[in-house]
Amino acid sequence: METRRLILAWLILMALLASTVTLALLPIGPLKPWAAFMIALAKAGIIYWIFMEVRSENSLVRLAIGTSLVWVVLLAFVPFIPLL
Amino acid sequence: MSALPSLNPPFSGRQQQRDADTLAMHIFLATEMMLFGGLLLAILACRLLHPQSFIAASSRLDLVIGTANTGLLLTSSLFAALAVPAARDGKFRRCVAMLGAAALLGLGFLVLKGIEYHDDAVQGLLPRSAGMDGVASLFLSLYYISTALHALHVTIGIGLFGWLTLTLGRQLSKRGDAAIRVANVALYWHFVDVVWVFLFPALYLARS
Repeated sequence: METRRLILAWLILMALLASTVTLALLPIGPLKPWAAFMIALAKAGIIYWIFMEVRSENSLVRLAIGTSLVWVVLLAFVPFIPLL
Repeated sequence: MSALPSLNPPFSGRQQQRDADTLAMHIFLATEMMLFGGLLLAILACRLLHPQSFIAASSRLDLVIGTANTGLLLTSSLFAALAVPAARDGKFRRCVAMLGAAALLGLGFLVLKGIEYHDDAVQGLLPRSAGMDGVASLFLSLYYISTALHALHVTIGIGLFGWLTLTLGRQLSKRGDAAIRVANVALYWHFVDVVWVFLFPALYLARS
């Protein structure tokens, strides 16, 4: 069961890789970087949830991961400050 | 058959000890996330401020090697993930085989990266090369810094897989302890994979 779940997650990851490369080569205009970023987020989510077993971790581990994400989001605002 | 890890002070139970091990690993990975997050955001800022030059420089990178390397790392992560339940169930031969496969694919990633660096150098894709504008130089500097730092992490991961593979056979009496080590090294490897999942589109997929 565990093996099947991991292989299924890998198949989805490979499909997402194929779609991100395909989208990068298609003329979809300004949506392109957003599509690539959203697919990367989906891939990271699958890796964390299935491969890194966050789905079965306790709330303390999830809090540690969530806190680090909050810090990255705060960091993300720094490049935009000169543009505001 | 699964086996329990040895209980060490100051923990009052094995579950508490296992939770502390995993939490510590995730906190370490959070520091790594800040490191690579800063680099990724520098790449993003460069793209936002100079979109045309950024896309022109990015289009010169080898998309085929970049894509192949992403596939290698994702597959390598699968094998690392498969090693964890094998270690927990005490199936050490299977665990060693999975770790070996993950390490070999990681090695394949480094070989392809080396070939790509060589091709880049031959084509003059180096910061401050003749005829290169400032943004292209900045892009290439960010490319080399982020991918070399990532490659260093891949190298450390392969070293950890090698260490686990060599020591697992001698630790059959402490299977539970070995299972925790396998799980934590796998967590590190998956994180290295996640970093590449973001570096790949940020560096290679900026196309017009």
